[in-house]
Amino acid sequence: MPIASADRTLSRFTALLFLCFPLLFAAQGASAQKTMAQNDGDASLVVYTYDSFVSEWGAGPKIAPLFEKATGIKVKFLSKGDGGQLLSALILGKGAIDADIVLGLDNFLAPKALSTSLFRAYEPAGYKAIPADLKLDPSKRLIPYDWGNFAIVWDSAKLRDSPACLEDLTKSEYAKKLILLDPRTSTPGLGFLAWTKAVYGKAWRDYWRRLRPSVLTLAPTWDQGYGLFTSGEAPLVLSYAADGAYHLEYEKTERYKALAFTDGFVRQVETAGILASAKHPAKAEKFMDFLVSAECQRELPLTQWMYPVLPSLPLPESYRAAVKGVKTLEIDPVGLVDEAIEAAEILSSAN
Amino acid sequence: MRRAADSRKGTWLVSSLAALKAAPLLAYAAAALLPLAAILILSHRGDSSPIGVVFGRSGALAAIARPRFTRAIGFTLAQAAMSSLAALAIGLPGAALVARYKFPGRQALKALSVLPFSVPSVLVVLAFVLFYGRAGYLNRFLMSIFGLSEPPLDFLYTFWGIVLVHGFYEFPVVLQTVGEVWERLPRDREEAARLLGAGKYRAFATGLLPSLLPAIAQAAALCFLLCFFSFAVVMVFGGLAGSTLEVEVYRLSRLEADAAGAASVALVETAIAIAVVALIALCERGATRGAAARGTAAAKEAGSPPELRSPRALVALGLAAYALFLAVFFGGPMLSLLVQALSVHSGPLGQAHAGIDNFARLFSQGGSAFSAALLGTAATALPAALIATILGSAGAFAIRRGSAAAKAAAALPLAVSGIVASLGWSLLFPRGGIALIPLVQALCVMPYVLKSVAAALSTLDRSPVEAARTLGANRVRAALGVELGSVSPALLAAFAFAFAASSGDINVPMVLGQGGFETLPVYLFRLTSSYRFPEACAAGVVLAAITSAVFAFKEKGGRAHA
Repeated sequence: MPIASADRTLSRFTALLFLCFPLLFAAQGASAQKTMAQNDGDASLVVYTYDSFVSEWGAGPKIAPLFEKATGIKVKFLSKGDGGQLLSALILGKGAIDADIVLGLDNFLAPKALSTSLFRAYEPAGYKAIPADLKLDPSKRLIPYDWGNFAIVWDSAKLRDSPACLEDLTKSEYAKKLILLDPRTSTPGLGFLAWTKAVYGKAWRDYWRRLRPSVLTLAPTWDQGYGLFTSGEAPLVLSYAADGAYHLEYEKTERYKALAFTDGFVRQVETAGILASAKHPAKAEKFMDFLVSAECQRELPLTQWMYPVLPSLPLPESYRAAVKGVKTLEIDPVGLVDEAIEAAEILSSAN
Repeated sequence: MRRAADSRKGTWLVSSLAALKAAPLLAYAAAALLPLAAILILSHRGDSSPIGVVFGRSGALAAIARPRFTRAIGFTLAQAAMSSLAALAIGLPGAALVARYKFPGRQALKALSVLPFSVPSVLVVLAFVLFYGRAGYLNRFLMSIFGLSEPPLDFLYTFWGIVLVHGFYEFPVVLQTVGEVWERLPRDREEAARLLGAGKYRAFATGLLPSLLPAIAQAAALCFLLCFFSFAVVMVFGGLAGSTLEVEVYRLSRLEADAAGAASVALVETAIAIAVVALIALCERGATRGAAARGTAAAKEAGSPPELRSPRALVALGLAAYALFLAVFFGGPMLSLLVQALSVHSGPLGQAHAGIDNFARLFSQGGSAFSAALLGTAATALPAALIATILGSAGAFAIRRGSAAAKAAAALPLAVSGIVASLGWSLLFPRGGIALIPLVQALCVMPYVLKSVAAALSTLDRSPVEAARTLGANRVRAALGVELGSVSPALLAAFAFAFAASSGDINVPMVLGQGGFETLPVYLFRLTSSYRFPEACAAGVVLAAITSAVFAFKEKGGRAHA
């Protein structure tokens, strides 16, 4: 009796194991169809990017077929995690980078990326239509493709009065009402630090000390922080000025409002560049041309929730809920990463 | 004819097994530590010698001496120690109850131990926020009862918040590990002590506690290890409280692109973890030996482990209180997740009402992506669980009479944290590799399979094997046939566990799939990073349903064989 049952268990397990491999290929096929890119092993162009770009709702699955239709070139997006992980993958990968283009390094990560010899210069067709203040790299190695402002987002159903400037956030009525993002692990967190530096200069440390009682927590990433916010944990969160547009588009609600602070805004500009080691430089140049073309730029507002770099393009209706008309502050990203560690320590020394 | 062929195959197996006895174990240990080796070697490529990696000017010791890391080490050890104590405090009463009494929900309580392994931590964090948070159900309840304007419970984002979450997240491990050993302990000693006039507590202390201590220590050490590696919980609730070594490795490698620093911290982290794993292996030896000696003696006398009683009077009251406590403080967060999944926010102020819209949206709008994620989960977790079960049980046979060192080596994958593993595998396979996902996942869950099959083997009565041998079956045939047959329920349980743990894993598919391959946890993570939290909860409920279904199957299988 036991012998029979053991044989049965083992042979069942082994049979199942063999059944798994077709399943694995089927699953890969199903995932690949979704990203429209992996079904062909010899995709001619490889783009390293970050995770939300390749997700179902990201820009990747939208623009890959458009690009293929326009040029006949297949493009494959590989996710390396988030923006910071993307840069780390480049720096740690050294010579072993097997891609033509890197897409998703922003103005905070750009100085570090440009200090390497990873990228080569290329001026895409249509480059001249991009406003000069978005062009953060005069050497034309990293080309901007979208941008957005950081802002404090306010839950109008949970808090009656909203703050009007950074200084207001330190008031006692906002004690434990603000969710910040950790500047050591998230770009918006780093952006907030740059924001306080742009407004307070060297006195930013004092500002962070005064801000301490208002901060409920330092969330590690934007999605965690925003999740805490929409769960009602605190009525104020650091996020993007266009967030209202998302909530209007998909939830038909104007409950969550980005606040137009009188201090001005700090901007995030996202860039892409051709790697010096690209195996398909000609095709990569075509992709860069496409990236800043109206056809591609049109897809970005509702997938990236960022503004296109072509100011003449009409925006979706829901963007009326995005905050505009606030002056842009100049930032200096050099040294920011070290100051991020200091800033986080200022906040945690209270506990 | 058949028999002859079988026995020839058997002899060949025996001789090759004997020759290769040490080789698989060494290969396995090497595979387990491969990610760490990759980090150490690739991140120091040409920069320094192996000695320099540890002792050099920018080596591990120098990096660790920085105040940032000494503080992180202190915080990691303190939170892991307090969290294990919390898990013991919550889990031990449950272990006592499941070991001695029968009551409805007993099996379900034991099966909870899969939870810390199968539920993605992103979801656990969300669950605890929904329940214990400032706007959570508990605070809202207290505010309405006492008419408060501010939430009274305010500790979630502090050290004690981390301890609380860990305590409730890991207590099922204590309950299961200790409960299992306790269940098999005969009552004769305790009863003898009582007959000799010892009080209830004295009888427990002299008769039972010594045999239970190794199991308790083992459970505590396992909890310590899980909390030592805890990542999402510390990241979300500890932003202001402090950071752990795991979080530091992540920060160094991710935002600071400091490969050498990350390698140093990873080395120190893994070294501490290896010590804890060795401790677990030692305790386990004590626990199974004690249980085996007493358990088989009792089994020989009574024919089965001590029978379970129905709880009476005080015990029944205690049981009810414990059940209520767990239902509120542990069930509450989990239920909050379900409520969130079933809430629909709409209208100008985003009011919530009940509905299945989130699920409907998963299946319709998510459509092909969601089904691809479901298929992806099955396609990785199933082979991973099968490989882990087959190789893990082979390993359990191989090391059943092995040394403590062999047992510690078998547990080595436990000492490699999720972040270290992701970093290492991504360095080794910069282009990813989908076929590798099940293999790496199998490697990660193998120690648990090995442990549970080995535990089942150690309590086996050897006499049927001897009988089979005298009846002419050769050694391997006897071992495989009789013993594997008797541990089939354990095999099924190990398979179910391995499946649940692999389907809940997010690190491996993320690193090796690189956006081209989706599983449910990856999809869930994508939802949370695209503003879709209620849908993420719904996807989490689907994941939990799959896991529970596998467990129901296991229970059915287990009963059929018992």
